[in-house]
This record gives sequence, C-alpha cells and structure tokens, in this order.
Amino acid sequence: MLTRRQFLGLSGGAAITGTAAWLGLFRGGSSSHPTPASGAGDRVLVVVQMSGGNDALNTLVPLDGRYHDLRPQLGLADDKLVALPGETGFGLHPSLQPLVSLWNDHQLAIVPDIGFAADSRSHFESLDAWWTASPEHSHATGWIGRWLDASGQGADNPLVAIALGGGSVRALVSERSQSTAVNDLTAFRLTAPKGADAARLAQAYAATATPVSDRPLLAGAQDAVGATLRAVDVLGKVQDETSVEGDDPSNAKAGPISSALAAAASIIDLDLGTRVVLVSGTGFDTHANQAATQERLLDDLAKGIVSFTSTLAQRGHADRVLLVTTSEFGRRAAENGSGGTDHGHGGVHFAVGRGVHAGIHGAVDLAHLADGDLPAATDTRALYAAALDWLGGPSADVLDGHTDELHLVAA
Amino acid sequence: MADDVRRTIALLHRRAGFGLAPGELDAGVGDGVDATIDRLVDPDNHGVPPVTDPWDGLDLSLPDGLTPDATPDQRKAAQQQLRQQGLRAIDAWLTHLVTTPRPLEDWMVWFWHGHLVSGLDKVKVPAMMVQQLRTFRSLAFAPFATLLRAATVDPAMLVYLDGDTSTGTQPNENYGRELLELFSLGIGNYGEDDVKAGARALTGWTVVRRTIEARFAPARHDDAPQHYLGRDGVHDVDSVIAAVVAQPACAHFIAAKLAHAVLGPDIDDHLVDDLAAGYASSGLDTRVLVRSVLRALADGRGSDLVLAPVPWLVAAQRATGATLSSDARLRGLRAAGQLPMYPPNVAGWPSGTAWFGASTVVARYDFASALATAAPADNPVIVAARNGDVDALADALGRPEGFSDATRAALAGVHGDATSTAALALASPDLALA
Repeated sequence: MLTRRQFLGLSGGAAITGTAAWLGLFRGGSSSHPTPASGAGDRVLVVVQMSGGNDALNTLVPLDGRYHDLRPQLGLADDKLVALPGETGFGLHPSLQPLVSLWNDHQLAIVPDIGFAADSRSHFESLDAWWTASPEHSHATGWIGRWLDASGQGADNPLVAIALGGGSVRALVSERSQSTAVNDLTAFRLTAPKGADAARLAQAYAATATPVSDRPLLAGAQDAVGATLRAVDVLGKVQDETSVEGDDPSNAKAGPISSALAAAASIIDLDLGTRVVLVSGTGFDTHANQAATQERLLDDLAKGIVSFTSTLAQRGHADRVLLVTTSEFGRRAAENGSGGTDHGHGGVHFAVGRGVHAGIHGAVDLAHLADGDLPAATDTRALYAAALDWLGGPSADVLDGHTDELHLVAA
Repeated sequence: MADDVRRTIALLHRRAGFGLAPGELDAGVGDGVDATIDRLVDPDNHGVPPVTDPWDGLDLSLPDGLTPDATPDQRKAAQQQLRQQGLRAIDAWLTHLVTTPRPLEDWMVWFWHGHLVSGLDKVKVPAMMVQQLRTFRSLAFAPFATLLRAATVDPAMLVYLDGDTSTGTQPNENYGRELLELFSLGIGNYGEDDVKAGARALTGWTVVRRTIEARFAPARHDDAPQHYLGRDGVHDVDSVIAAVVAQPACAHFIAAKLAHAVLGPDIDDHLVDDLAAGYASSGLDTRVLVRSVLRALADGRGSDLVLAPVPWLVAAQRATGATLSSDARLRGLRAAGQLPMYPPNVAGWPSGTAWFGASTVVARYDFASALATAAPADNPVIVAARNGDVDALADALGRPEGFSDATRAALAGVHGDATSTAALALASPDLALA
C-alpha cells in the first residue's frame, strides 16, 4: 500500500492552488522549459524493461559445450551465433546482430549473470525487488524515485521522469517527486464533445482539482487532473512527431520497444527537462516455444536500440544519453519440455552509449550452477549505480551502499 | 433515512455491479436494501430471468489456415481472422455488461477474469477465452474448489500457463506456481518444493484445439505420489485442488481479494478475518462470502475505491444510454490500459491509484466527451445537465449523495452547455471513484 504522498508523487501531483495559478504554470512550462546546465546536469537515462524475465543463456550465449547439454532442443547452433569482434567467450543471439555496430564503436557494455542472489522466482516479488532495488523488500519507493528525491530533480517538473508503455512505473514511486506515466502516446489527446467550446471545458475540468478533498483517494484523483493536463500539453508535441497508427486495438504496433524508444528520442530532443525515460516491453516470460518468441522480442530490442542511438546522434544528443536494460529474474539454465525455460536467477543486461566502458563485464560459469540456475554473480545494484552516476548521482545513498563496482560508465 | 437507503442501493450497484440504468435506482429504493442484496446475490431464486449468452450468434469458429501445411499467407489470414473475432467477442461482452439484468453475476465473471487470469495475447483463439468466461459464469458463485478445479483444466488456462505442454518427463512449472502464488494461497504460504510437486501432479493435460477440449493423456502424466502442501499421495488434479483448498490461507486469500475489490483498500483487517472465517466454515461457498461482503458494504464498513476503466465505462454507458462504435470503445479502453481479455500479465490488472495515471485520465475525458455527445436527449443525465440541476445530474449518474465541492464549482464553469456539463460530470474526479 502506497502512502498518499507516494501515489501523489506517482500521479504527478503538483500543489495546485487555483485554476488561474495553474494555467499560469501551464503556459510558463510550455514556453520556457528549463535550460539544462552543462555536464551531468543535462544527461538522460533511458531504461528498457524486458518484463517477464528475459532468458540470459540464449541472449548472450557462452561458448561452452555444457550450454548444449543444458539445451539440447532450445540451444542456438554455434554457427548461427553472432560473433563480437575480439570476444571469444560468448556469441550473441542472431536477432542481436544490429548491436554489433555499437560494439565496434565501443558503445556497448554487457553484464552477464546479473541479478539479486536472493531473488524470488515469483514474477511479482522479483519485479518488486528490481523496481525498488531491494531484494529484502525494505524500500517502499522505487530506485529512480529515490534518486529523484535525493537529487531534488523531481520537485517541480512532472516530466522529469516519464514512463512509456505502462508496466514499470513502480521504479518511479517516490516520497516527494513527480513523474508521468503514459501507456500510448498516439491516444494522448483531450477531445471535447462535438461543437463544444473545448477551451472552456478544459478550464472547467482543471477547476475540478481544487479545493482538494480531505478524502485521500478523491484528492489523488484531483491531483491527477492537473498533472495530466500539463503532460498532455507538452507530450502532444511528441505525439505529432512520432504518431504511428495501429490497425486494430488489440494488436500492439509492430515492435513496441522500437516505437517507445522512438518516442523517447523525441522527448529527449524536445528538452523538457526530462532526465529519465522508462520504456516497457512485455512477453519475455518464455515458458514455452521460446525460440520464436525471443527471436521476435530481441529483434525489436536490437533494432529499437540501434535506431534510437542513431536518431540521438543525428540530433546531437548522443553524448548525453545512457540506455540500460532491466528485467526480473533470469531463467533456468536447462530448457523445459515445452521448448522454453522456467523461472531462474541470473540474467544478462546491456548498457549503451558513448559514456560506457565497452566490453563484457563478468563471466558465466556453467560448471557451477546454483540449484540449476546462474547464480547472479553481479548484483543488479551495480548496474543501477552506474546509471545513477551517469545522471550525476547520488547513487550509493539511494542503493544501500552499492556502487558502480564494474566501472560501467565514465562518471 | 430515505436518503440513506437511496445511497446504499446506489453504492451496492456501483461496487457489486456496473452502475445504474435510468429508473433502476428508484426501483431498488422501492424494493429496499435486503431485497436488492437478495436479487444481486441469488438472481435465480428472486425472480430474475436468465440472461442470454453475450456471444450468442457470434461466429467464433476456428478459421482454416492454422494447420501445419498451411502457407505463410494462409496462416497470416487466419491469424487476422482470429484477431477480428477477438475484438467482436470483447465488444459483445461489453455490450452485455451495459444491459445485463444480473449485474453481480456478471461482475463476478469480471472478477474471476481478473483473478484466474488468461489472456488472448497468448491463448490466441477467442472461442477458447469465451468458453472460459462461460465456465466462470456458470460457476460464478460456486464453491471455490469447484471453480478452481474447472479453471485448472480449462483449455484457455492450459494454453495460457503452459499446462498443455507439461509432461511427466519434463514438467512445466508455470501453472503450478501461479496456482499457489496468485490464484489460491499467496506468497509465503507454500514452498518451492510445492511448486515443483504440484507441477508434476498436474502433468498430462492437453488441449484439442479443434473442439476446444481439455483431454487427459495418461502417458504424458507423472502419477508418482507427491508430497504437496504437507500432504502425501498427491498425484492428480483432484488431489492437488483438495490439498490447496484445505490450506487455511486459501479462505483468507480469496476473502481478502473479494473484500478489497468490493469494499475498498482501507478496510479493517478484523473485518477481513471475520469474512475469511465465515468463508472457511461455509466450505468456501462463494455465495456465502459475497453475501457477507455486500452486507458489510450496506452497513457502511467500506472505504473509498478507485474504479478501473472497464467498470467506469460500463457504468457511464448504463447511466447515459449512449452507445459507441466498437472501434472507439476498444481503442479507448486500450489507451486507458484495460482492454478485456488482454490482461497485462498473469496477475491481472492493477487496482487503486494505478488508474490515476495520465493515460487513463485522458481516456476517461475522451470517453466522457463521446458519451455526452451520443446520449439520447431524453436521458435523465442529459435532461439534468440541460436544466443545470446539479443534484439531479449526480443522482442520474448513480451518486445520490451529490458531487464534491470542487466538481460543483467546476460545473458552474460550463453552465448553459448541456453536453459539456454532462461530459464534465462524467470525467470528474468524483466519478473516478466507486
């Protein structure tokens, strides 16, 4: 159960003292966005969440005969693997071929066997651990939310942290900061009744936010009104730029991660003072028929990342953006009987950008599995610490003392 | 007193149904609280006629082109047909919810859909999902053991959580885990060994796609007796379900979930304990539990509750009499984050303040505009809006207690424009809560 303050933070509740004051803030916000300071102050972190628990061993494949013992059916043939020049211990899943260009440009860091040693095999406990950076469940706030609080970044701009595609907003839960969650940018537009005075209705709608009720849930619904109106005003510009029409409402557009990353690039380009963008992809819970599913998902991931980095480079933002991937637990080392893998431990994650120390940071030891799992030799918080250092920190305070022990980024 | 009864009847219909159609609140007040609860909880024995099946007459037959020898083009066309069937099935369900004379029975189907979760994103075949929902309707108030057994070997569930590929030599743990974690006991009330043992005992079930039939294949089954949840000799679906429902945690887990869904998140823990104890002593008779929950609601023991997009939209359509195109309705719900039959994951949809996110707020606003435009001129919501009668407007929207001060003041800002007034009332923070 979140406290009132936490969910107000999540829904982006600014203290709104009246319609006129709010409208003033609204106009000011859209005409004169904050000018970022140079250095870490204008850096951006993009987090790509692979919900469901991505399978590590078929993503970054260890060149070790034991791999084929563990995966007689599901194992990728050695001659199908994508080689990483200069790297002899691993090959990539064929769908990740596009990432080789980033590897060659020294913009790709890979962390094998990462996770929480004490991670649960439950999706929901594991996600909670990943989002709060706390396998002991000792934090109610998310790891990014705590950074927003600690850095003072989230005090007055709900667009400082934006979640696209739903799913991972729990990482943004904070004590006193604001953020904005949007499922689908293409539908993010206020429509008035036909023939009605749209501006008058929007203004009356803004007025439903005050006076704030003493019933916490009603107050939460009121706070959401103001935050939403501001987000609509600003993100409408992104929508115009990245609009993609799906042909039916059940069928998410081809490549949900790619589309969301395209929107993220537009948000970064608009200079809204946004420091963190979360992008969520789903479907990585591959208990059955993993081969076809993971091929499609990793294809979306790799193409999305490469297109994102090239857009940023064209628009002059490449030096200030770091992308990292996250998930929940990894999967069992051995395949199951359904052409898939069950819930396990260690995963593999990527950090992408001009600020990373490129290379593979760690190892996979198939001779020493822990109860049939990769043991998660690197703690997830090492990756998070690198991400927060990229933003200028603080990191250790937010992550219970954990630091960028792998030196993933040049802080 | 009369006001109290009116508020209680409206509350019952908002929490244990999908809101109120014109005239329904007056009729309920005439019947009184006890008769209303009886009619909701036990429609068969209180003169409510059976409802027609929401999917009656819909062609959900399996398209050709799904066989292994089909060409890629044939397969693509078949998949497109399945998607279209799915959208029609979802829309038919929503239309049924707007008009149902058995709101609680339908609310329970919706509740079970969000609890014993399967989704079309993986099941793919709409006829399979529809069959599962028909099962949930026929067992909406059934003893939990009966429902849980049916769900365990339901074809859509066998596909969604991979039971149909789980064999004795290589058991798949997906269903075995979620059965305990999400469907019956909750984290902390079982061990990893129980997950594995349960998965073994449940092997052997497959799905015949053509007939949508669950079939037990002994050759695929591991019949070795398992030690499961403290019992020995568990070896098949019946002994698994018997072991699960015998756990004291089961009554509490289900009672708490239902109580929070109807009464709200901030209710007294002792109330939940009492409901769980009553549920346990009834032998997990869900009708007994539901009746006790509604009684607690009528007695004023609930808290505020956030409405999810689907119940919000259905209630808004029920009150305004407005219809929407299938396309507008389904697109809007997807944008809001709650397209029926497409739950985000096996835990179902989030609840509470998750629905205060910007996307949901925008979708509600857009729906409110569309509904206010489409509502018939003689609908009580529109009549009250035209007359500028704010109390009548609230009452027509199932809120006889009236609007908050903020919404009352805001409504004055669109005075004289009936459509905007109705739209603003529908989009207001007040209506975001049940």
